[in-house]
This record gives sequence, C-alpha cells and structure tokens, in this order.
Amino acid sequence: MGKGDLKATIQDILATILDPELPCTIIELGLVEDVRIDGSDVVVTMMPTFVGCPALEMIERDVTRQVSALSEVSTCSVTWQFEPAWSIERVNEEGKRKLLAHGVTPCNIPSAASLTASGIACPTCDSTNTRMESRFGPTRCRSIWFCDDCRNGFERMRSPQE
Amino acid sequence: MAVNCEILESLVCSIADDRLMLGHVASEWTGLAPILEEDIAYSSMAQDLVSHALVLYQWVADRRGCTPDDLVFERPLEEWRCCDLVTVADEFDWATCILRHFLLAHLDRLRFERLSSSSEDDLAARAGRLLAEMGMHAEHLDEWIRRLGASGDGARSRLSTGLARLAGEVDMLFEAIDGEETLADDGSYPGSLEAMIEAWNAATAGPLQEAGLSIVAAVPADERRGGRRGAHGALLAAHLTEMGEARREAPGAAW
Repeated sequence: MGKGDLKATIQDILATILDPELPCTIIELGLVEDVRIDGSDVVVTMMPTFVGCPALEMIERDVTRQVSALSEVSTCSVTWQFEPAWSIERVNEEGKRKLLAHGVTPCNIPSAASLTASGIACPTCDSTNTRMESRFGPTRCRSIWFCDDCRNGFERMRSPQE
Repeated sequence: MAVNCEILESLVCSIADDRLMLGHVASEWTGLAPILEEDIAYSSMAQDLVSHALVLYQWVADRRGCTPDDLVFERPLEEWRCCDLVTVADEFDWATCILRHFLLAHLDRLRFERLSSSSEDDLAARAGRLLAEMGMHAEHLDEWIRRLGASGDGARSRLSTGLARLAGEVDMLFEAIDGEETLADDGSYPGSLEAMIEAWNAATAGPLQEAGLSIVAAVPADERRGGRRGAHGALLAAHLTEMGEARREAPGAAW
C-alpha cells in the first residue's frame, strides 16, 4: 500500500470513530487536524473541544487502537494540539445536521452581549425566542437553553473561546 | 537571554498547584451546591481546574522527564508552590467558596495572559488555550458575587463574613516565587507583579463594589514567607495525604 493509500485508509477509519457522548464521528466534529505517516509510524494530531473533557482519553484510545491494528502500521499516537484552538466552525455540515437532530444547536452566539436575549434558534421549532439557562451543561462543550415559544429545553454546542 | 528553566518550571507549578488544590476542594461541593444547575456548573469548574493543572504539569513533566503523577504524588511538601488561600477551609459556606474562587480566577486570568505571550512557544500555546476556557469561569463567579450582593442582607452579610475569613491571605496570592522577576527579563513571563496587582484590583473591584465589599491587594512584605516559597499551612499536607491515599494503597492501579 502506498503512503497516499495508507493515509486514505486511516482517514476512513477515523471517519467511523464516534464521540462517546454525541452521535457524531470525530471527523464530523472537526477534532482531527492532521495525520502524519513516517514509515510505519502514525501520528494523529487532534484538537480538544475543552481540555477537561473526559471523552478525550476514550477517543485517544479508540484512535490508537484502531489505527495501529492496520498491518502497515507499527505505532500510532495522538498529539493534542492547543493552538489554534478547536471552535464550533470546525463541525462539518453532516455533523451539524446530526447534532440538530439530537437537540443540540451547534453555533456561536451572535455577539457576546446577547447572552440572555439570544437570537439562537431552537432546534425543535426554529424560534429565536430562546434564552440561556446555564453556561454549564451536561458536558463542557454544551450549555443549557430554553425556548419560550415551544417550551422545550435544548443544548447548544459552543466554542471554548466565546 | 536564556530562560531560567528551573524558575520558570516553579512558576508553572505554582499556577498548576493552585488550580489542582482549588479543583480538589471545589469538587467537595459536588452534590451540595445551592441549586441543581449550580451543582453541574461548579462540578464542571472543578473538573476544568484539575484538567488545567494537568496541562501545565504535563509541560513541566516533559521537561523533567517525569510524569504529572510524579509531580503531584512524589513531590515533597516544601516544593509545592500554591498559596494558602486555596486550602483555607470554607466550612461549606457558599459565599466563602464563591469568593475564594472569584479572587483566584481573576489572578489566573492575568497569569495566563502573561504566560500566553511567553517566549516559550509551547507554554504560551497552552496558556492561551486555558485562558479561553477561563473567561467563562470569571464571568460566572462575577455573576454570583453580584447576585448574592443584590439579594438582601442575609446573603450580603455572609459575603462580608466570607471575605473577612479570606482577607488575610489575599496579598499572599501575589507572593513571588524565588527569582520570579528574572522571568520578566528573559521574556518567559512578560509583565510585572505590580502591574498584575493593579489589574487584579481593577478587575475584582466592580463586582465587589456592587456587593458593597472592597478588598485591595498589595505586594506582601518580603519577611512574610508563604506557600509560593514553600512555607505551607497544615491544611495542604492533609489534602495531599488524602489525594495520595489510593496511590499508596494500590501503587500502579489504573481505572
């Protein structure tokens, strides 16, 4: 297998690895920054959503286990990159569609000043008559919101730097 | 100018030690915070504090050829560089808990700002990344001070009692580690202690004033040796003993 083919095979594997807490793959969430191959050694550079996310360890384990299972690969390691930081813009269209179907709005707040009078669309009814209930949701990359029109709670996936 | 590695590593440890110990005591509130949303929020913040410490310990560990666990579990007490404010017992008083965290969050914002323009690229990248996550903490804590301060005499007087409990340790937030000033000269920790204290006083004054409180930090007297130079109160040793219990009980155990 040529180097280009191996890289494509690794990309295909990464595209099947799910985030442990969301119905999306790590490629859809934009967590993978780079795949480098040096002989039979592979280094996957990834970006943490939030550095304290307990899912990182599980993702790292899945990536190294599955990539190093390829016969052409002798070692695989993951490097977590801090700069530039992951942001919500890195989630691809398929990832956004899956998150919305899961009741999670993937978007940045239009402006920092509008934290409470939001403009964030509800994933159930699309109304923007919504408000933030808590900055801190079930995981660090999600905050808790409420829609005053359809009276549903929802979550918003957010960038760490907002 | 060559960076003084040993001093820079001590400085990074002092920030990591503060965050780890505060994260440890903050995690004791899990299940006990005043409302459900805050229980989630405060537990998340505790988790962040510990993870931020890990990112910094990892930087030091890579340079020393050891692991973050070695730094936490094997380092002698006198080599810890946290301030005593992080181990003051809050007696499960929410006002004290929030105030302590608020005072430290504003310091760490400034310390991470300085480190994010460090001449040490990897350290600067780490600090910049953590700084992004910290903004949310400071805003959340500012809001608590404002809300408690605005919610009538009971909460306000408890804030005032809490601040009195912490006030004696506030200057010691700014105790310099030995040789710290050389890090500004070599570019690894740009800025000055005096400018940082001024910025901290300005940042904390807004929410505190709204709550009818005031505290002004100053450079502590040099004769007063505290945690940043290895002189710790009894509580740090107790916390470290508690944290290391599982490791001593079952060395090498993993989840």
